[in-house]
Amino acid sequence: MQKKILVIDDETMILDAMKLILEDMGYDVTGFSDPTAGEREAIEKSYDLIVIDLRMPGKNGAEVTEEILKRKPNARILIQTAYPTDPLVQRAIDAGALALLKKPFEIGKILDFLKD
Amino acid sequence: MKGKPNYVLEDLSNSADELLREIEDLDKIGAPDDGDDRVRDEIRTRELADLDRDIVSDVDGTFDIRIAENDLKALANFYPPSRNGKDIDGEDVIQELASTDVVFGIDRESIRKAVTRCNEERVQVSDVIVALGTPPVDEIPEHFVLREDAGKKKTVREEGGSIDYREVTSYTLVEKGEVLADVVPKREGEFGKSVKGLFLPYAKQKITGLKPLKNTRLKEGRIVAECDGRLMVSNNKVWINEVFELSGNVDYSTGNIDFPGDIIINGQVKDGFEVVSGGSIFCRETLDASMVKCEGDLSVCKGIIGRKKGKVSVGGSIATRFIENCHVEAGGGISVQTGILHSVVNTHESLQMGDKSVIVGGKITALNGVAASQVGTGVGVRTEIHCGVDYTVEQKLLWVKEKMKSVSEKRARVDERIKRGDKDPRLGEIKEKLELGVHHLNRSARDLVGRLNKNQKADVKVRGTLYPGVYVEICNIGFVNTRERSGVRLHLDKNGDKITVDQI
Repeated sequence: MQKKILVIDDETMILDAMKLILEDMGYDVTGFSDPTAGEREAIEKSYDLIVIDLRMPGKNGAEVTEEILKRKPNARILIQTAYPTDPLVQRAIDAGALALLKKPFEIGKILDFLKD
Repeated sequence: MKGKPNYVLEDLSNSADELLREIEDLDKIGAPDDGDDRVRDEIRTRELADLDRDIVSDVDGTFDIRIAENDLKALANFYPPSRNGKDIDGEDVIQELASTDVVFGIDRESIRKAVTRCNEERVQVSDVIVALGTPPVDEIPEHFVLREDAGKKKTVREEGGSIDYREVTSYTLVEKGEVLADVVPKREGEFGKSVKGLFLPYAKQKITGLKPLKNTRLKEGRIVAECDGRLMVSNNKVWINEVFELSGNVDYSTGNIDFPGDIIINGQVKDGFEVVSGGSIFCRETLDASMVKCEGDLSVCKGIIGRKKGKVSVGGSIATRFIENCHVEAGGGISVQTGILHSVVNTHESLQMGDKSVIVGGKITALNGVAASQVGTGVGVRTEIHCGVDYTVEQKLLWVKEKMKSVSEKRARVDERIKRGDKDPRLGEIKEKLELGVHHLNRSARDLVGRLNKNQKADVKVRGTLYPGVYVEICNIGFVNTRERSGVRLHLDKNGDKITVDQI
């Protein structure tokens, strides 16, 4: 069965590129550029992997991660950022995010988590 | 004077009177009385009779003859006679042929049939071959011809069925003992003969037949595969590249792979493993490219993942779906279906991307140009495209620059010590050696700069969006894209001193 990935990133070009490549590899990818809408989607539906950008307008990735894991403790979340030293990274990891992806892309790491 | 009655004259007189009366009646045409009806009736009768008369006077049947195809054919057109015209006589055709020196290969039967049809059906009969020469037969030397079905039957099993590599890649796999090519024996040449009875010389065809090379042998007039492997045919040479086939992944169960021939990997190459091939590499899944090297082509069905440390070096071409965080070099062209993400990609030919594709981040150097769908992002990821330059020369120039910096630093240190009064005689020797080094590096740099720009016609075609911030360089002329553009071609202007952007 096709694995489902949810990507929440306000940078639509990055979002589109990730969708393009992961869909081409046979995954079912849903993308949201609005963090609140993405968070709602993650809570309402079931995904094999959720990739969340850290710095987004309105709500940051750490907050979104906390909210999702509060409602769905088994959700598998990867955090994505261009600034690995950002203090929000630790907050997201503490909340239960599995790993950090360095922006713009780390498709290899995403695939690793989908294989597990 | 009265004499014998002259009947002829009398008849003439009567008929003249009658005619005059008829003529008088002509004035009445158009008037509604009996005289008018009579004249009109006569006109109508005449008009009906005229329908059966020939428009032109009687014409005899005729024909013309022409000689074609280097005197190998005589053709004739036959034109029918009119109703009372004279028919075409077949013997006239034969005589006409003789008068034009046509003496060989005369087809009397064709002439007879065409003449009969033309005369009887009163139709034009065109392009009838009335004489046919014999063309010369070229002499052909003995040569080998590749069997069309060579390698077709070989398939490689995969989960849920079988896949024919001939269809998905350029691979044609053959088995040991399989006949690859058959000999075509020498054919002697034969003289031809023209319709004018002259002998026509034959040509001696020069056929460069297949030459059997590595892993093939001659057996009973055939070229046979000496081992299982990939069939290679190039420049009239045929050989077999040995193939190393892995049913699964390259991982701890296999270790690193180093093979002189082609490698087929029916799984993926796991992170941290190296693959080196003297031929080509085919990978069915993703290639986690820690270090991949091959002299031939690289085909990756899914994508190349570099994880910021992977290096791929290919002598031939590369075909894959995506390249991510990897350093990739190819002697041939590179074809990428969906995306090149944050990678260094160099090619001596061109980079062709799929219809829906992105280049985001990284640096692309393509001697003959780049064609992509979208380039760059709206955010701060730097994306560079360099065209028209030889990346190997560029790399050497960078190396020279680094060495020059290092030599200059060392020389400064030596100068500093001499200045401080250090009398060690070795300092002078070192300084001399370093100066010699600088001289060599300068000479190399001059030579390399002369060889750097190779293709001023190289261009960058972006079918979709070219985002702001993308840097394009063609033959060292730079251009920074400052706004979002769609469907553009970037190329050097005719003077070669600036980059022009045109709409596609």
